[in-house]
Amino acid sequence: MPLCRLWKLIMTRKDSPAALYIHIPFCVQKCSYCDFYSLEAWDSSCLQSYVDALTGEIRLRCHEWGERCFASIFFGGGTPSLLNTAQIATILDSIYRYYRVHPQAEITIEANPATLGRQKLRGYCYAGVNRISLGVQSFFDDELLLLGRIHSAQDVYKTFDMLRQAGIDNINLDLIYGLPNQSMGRWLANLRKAIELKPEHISAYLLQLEASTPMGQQVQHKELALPDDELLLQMYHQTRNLLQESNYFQYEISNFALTGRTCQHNIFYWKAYDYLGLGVGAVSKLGGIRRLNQAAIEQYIKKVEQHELPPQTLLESMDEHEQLADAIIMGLRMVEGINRQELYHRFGLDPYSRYEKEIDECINRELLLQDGDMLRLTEKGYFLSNEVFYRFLP
Amino acid sequence: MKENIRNFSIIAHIDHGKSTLADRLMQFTGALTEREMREQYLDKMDLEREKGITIKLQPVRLHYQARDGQSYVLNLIDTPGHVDFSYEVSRSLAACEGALLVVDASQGIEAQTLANVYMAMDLDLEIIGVVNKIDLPGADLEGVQEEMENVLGLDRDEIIPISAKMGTGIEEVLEAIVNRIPAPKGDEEAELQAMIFDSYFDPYKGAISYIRVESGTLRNGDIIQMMSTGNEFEVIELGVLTPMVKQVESLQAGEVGYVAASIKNVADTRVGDTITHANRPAAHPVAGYREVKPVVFCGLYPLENSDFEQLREALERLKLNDASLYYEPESSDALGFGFRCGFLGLLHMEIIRERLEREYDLALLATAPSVVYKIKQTDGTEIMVRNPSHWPEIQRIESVMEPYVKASIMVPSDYIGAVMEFCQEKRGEFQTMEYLSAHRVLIIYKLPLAEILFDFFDGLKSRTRGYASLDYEMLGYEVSHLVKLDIMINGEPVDALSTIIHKENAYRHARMLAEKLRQIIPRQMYEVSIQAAIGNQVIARENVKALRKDVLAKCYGGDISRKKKLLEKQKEGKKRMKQIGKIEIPRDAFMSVMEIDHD
Repeated sequence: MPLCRLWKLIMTRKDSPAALYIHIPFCVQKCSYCDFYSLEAWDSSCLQSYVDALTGEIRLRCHEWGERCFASIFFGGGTPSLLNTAQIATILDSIYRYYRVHPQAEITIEANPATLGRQKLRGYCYAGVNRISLGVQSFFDDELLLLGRIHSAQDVYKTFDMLRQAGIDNINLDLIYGLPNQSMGRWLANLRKAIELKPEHISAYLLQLEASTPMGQQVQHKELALPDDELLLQMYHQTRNLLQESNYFQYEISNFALTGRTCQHNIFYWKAYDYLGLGVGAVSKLGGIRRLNQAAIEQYIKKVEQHELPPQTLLESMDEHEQLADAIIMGLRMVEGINRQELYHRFGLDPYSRYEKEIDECINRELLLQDGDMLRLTEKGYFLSNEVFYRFLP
Repeated sequence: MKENIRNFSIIAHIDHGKSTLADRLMQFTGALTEREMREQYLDKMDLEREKGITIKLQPVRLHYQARDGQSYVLNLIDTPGHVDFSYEVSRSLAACEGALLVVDASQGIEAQTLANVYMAMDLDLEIIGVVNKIDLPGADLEGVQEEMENVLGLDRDEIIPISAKMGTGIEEVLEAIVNRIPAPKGDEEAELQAMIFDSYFDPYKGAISYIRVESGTLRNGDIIQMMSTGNEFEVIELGVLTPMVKQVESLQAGEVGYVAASIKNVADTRVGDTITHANRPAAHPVAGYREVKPVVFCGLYPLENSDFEQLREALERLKLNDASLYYEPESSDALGFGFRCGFLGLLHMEIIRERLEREYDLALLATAPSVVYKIKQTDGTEIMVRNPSHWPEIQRIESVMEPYVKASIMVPSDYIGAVMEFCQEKRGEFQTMEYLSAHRVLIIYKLPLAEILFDFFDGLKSRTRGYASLDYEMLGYEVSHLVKLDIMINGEPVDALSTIIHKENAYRHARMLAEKLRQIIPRQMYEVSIQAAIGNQVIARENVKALRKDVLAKCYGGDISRKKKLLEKQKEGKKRMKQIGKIEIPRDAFMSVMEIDHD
């Protein structure tokens, strides 16, 4: 390897910021549309031994990641808000002890409205959490029931007030649209209720069903009917309009925020920067490598107790060309698009010359827009983005 | 010497155990040692093994020490096992004095077997009946023996029960070959007459012919002449297969072997042709030669237009090995440059297409197969149309003729009604019916070849729980009420989707075809309109709505790899599409126009 490339590699590794993800694979009850790794059968001792194992993994991985500066920490799940204050504090303490964390780091925890209490919340903040992502999904109890959520619309309002009272000034609300039999009116009512609460950030996701989930099965067996594509498209564009009118700026296919309140953590994913994933079922990306911590909790805990790294599966090992493709496919999800110069500096490849034909095809189909060094999806392109992305696969 | 030669073939239906029996004969006579023994040695090509059928022939010379103490040379001449290749079968049989008729003890005689046995009887071959698979639980030895006696007039006491798989009865078969099949006749001193029953292309030696010497003697260095063309060549190598190649100095009347003569093209070694000496030619060739004509045509187009030259080279090379393959360049407005190719039947077509894709790594699009139509035009001229897009305009057509066949269907008598109903649907005309035994009948129908070619056999089998067997022979052309159905995509005719159909079925067919295309053509960026038309008249229409949604709403660190796999699949799917204008059409769509089920 030429010296300059090697140098660049070391530079990247050491100095570029990274994101840290912690997976908490426990739920009170699994949602009917969810196919993430999470467990319903657990008790407090189980939670505690998992937290202990997590601190173990944090320690064990510090040789590889200790030099990196983390600009974001994100507790995802599952339902991370099942952890008590002490547990969250223990985890964050180990992170501060073994890694470098940026002083202004965004520290998010995903929370289920039915699992938060005043005490817990205060504790989280004290431990350093400064952003809450609330899994609202819907403001209507019948829809929440259909989704298999354990909270009610009332819980959402209560929890939101609590968050504000605790002084949390960075809140995201997750919403889902395109539920079986959902009408446009119903969805817009949901959206308006969300806007009325004035959160800093709103994620509005189109329901995406895997065949393996209970709801996926019901749809497959025609017990439930999803709205047709035409209606979904209209819902999407109405969502964009309504949110933008209310000063929520779209910055990704499904994400909207008040100025300055974009989610830093997710931007790491979309810019194809490095991230460390801790806990069972978590994925890490380092350079061109993506690895998965195997999704088996007993083995995970046992291995870490023996001071060994938990077993991993190699998901991807990408050369420069594949990394470029990865960065384009992820980067185009963002409204600002991708920057030719930036990608050239990162991978030593010019995306415009490498994908000239593909870019032309997409521009002709009005899916992509070129603006100097920037390349981005058109409004039409958002809901047809896979038609763009597949062309960039190496 | 000649008295100790026996030339024979094995006639059997697919799966009735021909190859296994051939293996056993080779093993018993020591032609193959255990180490050389590959299962089903005769089926050489990968495709043959996969499809379980024999395509190319291979004669094998066996040495057998008979019970009478004498040593015999047994030439086993293999025959292909599919109706597409019935001419080749007839030439292989013509090279023999006898044939083993192998019938599965649980299945009985099948139509195609019967056709081949009749062919063998016409050629005066001695038929040795063999009932195979007697070890299987469903075996009905006596029933099958009775059927063979009733249908073919074989003496049931002379029918040999065997199990090729277990290796029982093999010696009895060998003894029967020695004792019952006559030794070849023919004068070694007479003018040379050697019939070609197969040929293949060897990259080092050129075209190699498998021959049966009828009379005279062929020696190394002889100047030979092909009697159908008059072309002359010098023999550079003679040999036999044991089954390993073994060179010999000469081949005499009665013998079977191969000849190499620096022949550059298999077209010069036509199956059925007679080889004679240039300086002392025979008075006449061996009877029965005819030029093989393809009956099914389809367009083969590379999915990538830039692969056209590669496709041409691949066809050229395949043609070296397969004289019955026909091709000529053609172009289609929709598909660009490709070739119109002719085949002996659908299986032949499928084999060639698969070989092109596998051996030459080409991604191909095949248009719907078509028979050759004869059209009398209003100006009095007559044209042959083998590509629906060359169909003349309606006002220029005086009359249309299509090829008909005589189809023989054998089936248990319970299914007579089902078979007749099915043939009627396929525009068949009932001819005769004959009881072969108390429970089996032979039904003869006259049918348009076009109906037989496409999924006829599958339909027949599904209506008879797989019991029906089928054989057919050409009858000739007859006037028929046919029209061309055009398909227009977004108003533009797509020539490669045109088909010829019977006028009576036109509306129903058009509606079903439009509907089928609507299902096959995926949603695109733009709405796609599909119209089916006869002449200027649109008789069916469908729309494929524009694609509205193709998005992954959520994509975060944990599932990027998985989401990329989904995109990967999408990309693979696009590779199987043909771009026509702005529209992407899956390549299966072109074949699907033939796969309309009228039920």
